[in-house]
Amino acid sequence: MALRKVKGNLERMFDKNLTDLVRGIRNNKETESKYIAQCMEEIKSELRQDNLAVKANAVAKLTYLQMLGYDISWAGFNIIEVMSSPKFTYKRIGYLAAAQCFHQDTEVLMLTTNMIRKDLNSQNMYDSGTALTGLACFISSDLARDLANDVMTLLTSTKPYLRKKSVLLLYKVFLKFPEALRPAFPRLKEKLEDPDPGVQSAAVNVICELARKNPKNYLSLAPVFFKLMTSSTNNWMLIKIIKLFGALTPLEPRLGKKLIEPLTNLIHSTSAMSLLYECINTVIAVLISISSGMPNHNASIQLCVQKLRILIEDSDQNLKYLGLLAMSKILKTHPKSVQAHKDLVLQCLDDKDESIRLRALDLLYGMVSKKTVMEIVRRLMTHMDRAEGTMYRDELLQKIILICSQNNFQYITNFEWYISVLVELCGMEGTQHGSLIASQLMDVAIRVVAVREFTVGQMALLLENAHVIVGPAAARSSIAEVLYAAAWICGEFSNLLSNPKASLEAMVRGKVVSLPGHIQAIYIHNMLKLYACIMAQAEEEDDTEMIEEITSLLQERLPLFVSSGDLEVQERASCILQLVNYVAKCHKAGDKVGTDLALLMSGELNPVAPKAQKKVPIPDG
Amino acid sequence: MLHYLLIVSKEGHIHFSHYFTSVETNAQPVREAGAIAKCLAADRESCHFMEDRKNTLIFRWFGPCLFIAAADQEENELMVYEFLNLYVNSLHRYFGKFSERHVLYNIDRLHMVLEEMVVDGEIVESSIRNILSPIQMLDNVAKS
Repeated sequence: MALRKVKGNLERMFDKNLTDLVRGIRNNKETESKYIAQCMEEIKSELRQDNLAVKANAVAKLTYLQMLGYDISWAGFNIIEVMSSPKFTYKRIGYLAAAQCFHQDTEVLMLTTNMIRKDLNSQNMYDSGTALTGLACFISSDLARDLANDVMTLLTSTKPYLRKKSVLLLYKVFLKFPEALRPAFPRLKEKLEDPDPGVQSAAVNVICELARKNPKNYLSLAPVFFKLMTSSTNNWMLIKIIKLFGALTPLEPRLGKKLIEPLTNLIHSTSAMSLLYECINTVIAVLISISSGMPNHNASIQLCVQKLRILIEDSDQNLKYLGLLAMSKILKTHPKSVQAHKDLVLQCLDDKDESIRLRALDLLYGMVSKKTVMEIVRRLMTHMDRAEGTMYRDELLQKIILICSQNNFQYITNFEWYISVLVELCGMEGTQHGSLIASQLMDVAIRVVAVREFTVGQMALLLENAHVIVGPAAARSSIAEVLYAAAWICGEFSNLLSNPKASLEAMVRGKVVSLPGHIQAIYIHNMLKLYACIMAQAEEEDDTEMIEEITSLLQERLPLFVSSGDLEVQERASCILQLVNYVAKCHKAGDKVGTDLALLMSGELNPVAPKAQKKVPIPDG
Repeated sequence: MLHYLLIVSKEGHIHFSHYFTSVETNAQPVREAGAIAKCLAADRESCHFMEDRKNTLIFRWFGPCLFIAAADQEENELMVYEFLNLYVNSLHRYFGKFSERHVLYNIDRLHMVLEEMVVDGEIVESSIRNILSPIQMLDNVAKS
């Protein structure tokens, strides 16, 4: 018996504790999983021992392993054993393991209720404190229901250490067991006037979180918070109170008006950047909720914008980022005040940091006007050339198009310029927004009649240079969609083309078969439109040479498409091939079919409003 | 509300992780890996706030270790930044000269300090003296 005990002690000497485990893992970097599997076995055998010290050691190691990603849910019961130890050091280890590993659906939690209750009511302050902190992590609705009363009793404990923690735990209890809120609320309110600043701060935190979900119920507490705000010097608490006011002001505009003065004072006097940022944010929220007719609030907006400018000009990247973030909030309601700082925002576009550049881009979107749009887009495009990283360039491209197409092209005065911008954008490799560019091109071509000729000319150029676009990089991008638009525009408005034959030749070129199916289909369809147009013209001029040329060109090239893998392409190609053969036959017989063909393609397409289909009366039956 | 705090090495190994609210244990490694990758990729000179799904990540380099905290989007980012500073200051005060070695071999103490500072995701104590007093008391009891 004694020998067994000695043997046991000897074995215990060779147990690894947590430090040894960490050191071991670091030393065995190559064979980590094997080493850890071995350690797990050791831990399992340690857990089978009766000695609580050994078990606690094992649980501590398990917590570390869980952090590395290994599953330890099988040890739930052992963790509870350690938690119930009378010795504080072991109890603490158990609670820590529970906090990091258990969650509300863990089944073994049901066994813990009485134990936790005992700990909460313990004479030892640190026992209760550990229980409170740990409970915050793994409390479930059953535990909340059973332990709510005990936690509330602790609210009135003589030790501020416990009052502080129980106030915060109450929030979690409310989340899991909402019925506890009503009886507990008066006591929570009392804590706002607790002599200990830590407890006060905890109460403020809890009410802030509650108010975020349901601001109405906490409006009555506003005067208490006001007093706290003007009297406290604890920055952490002030930030929370100001955030709380930000949540309450949308409901009570009078509160907002009263807040402006103390907030402005704080903005002037504080040296803490975090507090300054919070005040500015709340002032913005207040001013948005108050009606904008008040003249003296202009001064507050100016103050905010001025302070934000200082933030953005600071060399610290964090402040720049936050300054830009807050500016975009002001932009929504007071665009004029922000527009004066356009130069600063454009400067931020050149910043090394990508997140700052993206924020500046967001701001620019709201700052354009008819006069500035060209300059801004020009800047953005030079930026795009210099930028690395295709995702960022893509973002830029999308933003450029969004800026220009805002509000039905509200800010564009010169559409020819816009078309040339779009064509330039087509030259960008690796974009995912090819269809966006394509839809813009079609939109402008259809709706802006004045620039149609220019557009068509540009599209013809695009078609002829299609081989540049359909390069090896095209597989990853959707830039080929632009060809879709180009072909369609050339086909539909073929009467405006300067050299329709060249465009037709560009369309039937061999490389076209490497394009995606739906684009090829459009190509074929528009080949027919072009063919009809050229035919009509050629017959008028009795240009038999031209007629023969284009007919044979199509007869030569269409079979390539007929054997394509895509069904739509096949169908259209064979349809059109038959038509062309028929036309050739008619010509051999001496008939003129030009005008008939042209009739096939006549009729202007107009853009249709999205709700138009609803207005079509449903036929009876 | 804060969600978690990680201490990560330059290569991306997790030295220490503490969750303030309970998270499904299966989802943890994936989320952590994503957050760590994002923060490591960022330049040291650039902005220290990032968005990661629904949370904001706030990170800061202290020597060779990267401290990452995740918080709700409504949380004041500068405040969390200051909180990281406060945490490292308390650890400095407790250990003397705080270094990476201390992180590796004193994980339980790191957990304890954090438990004193934050309960249920909210910062409860900002005075270093109050934070360290329970832990120092524990050390005294263990010694005697």
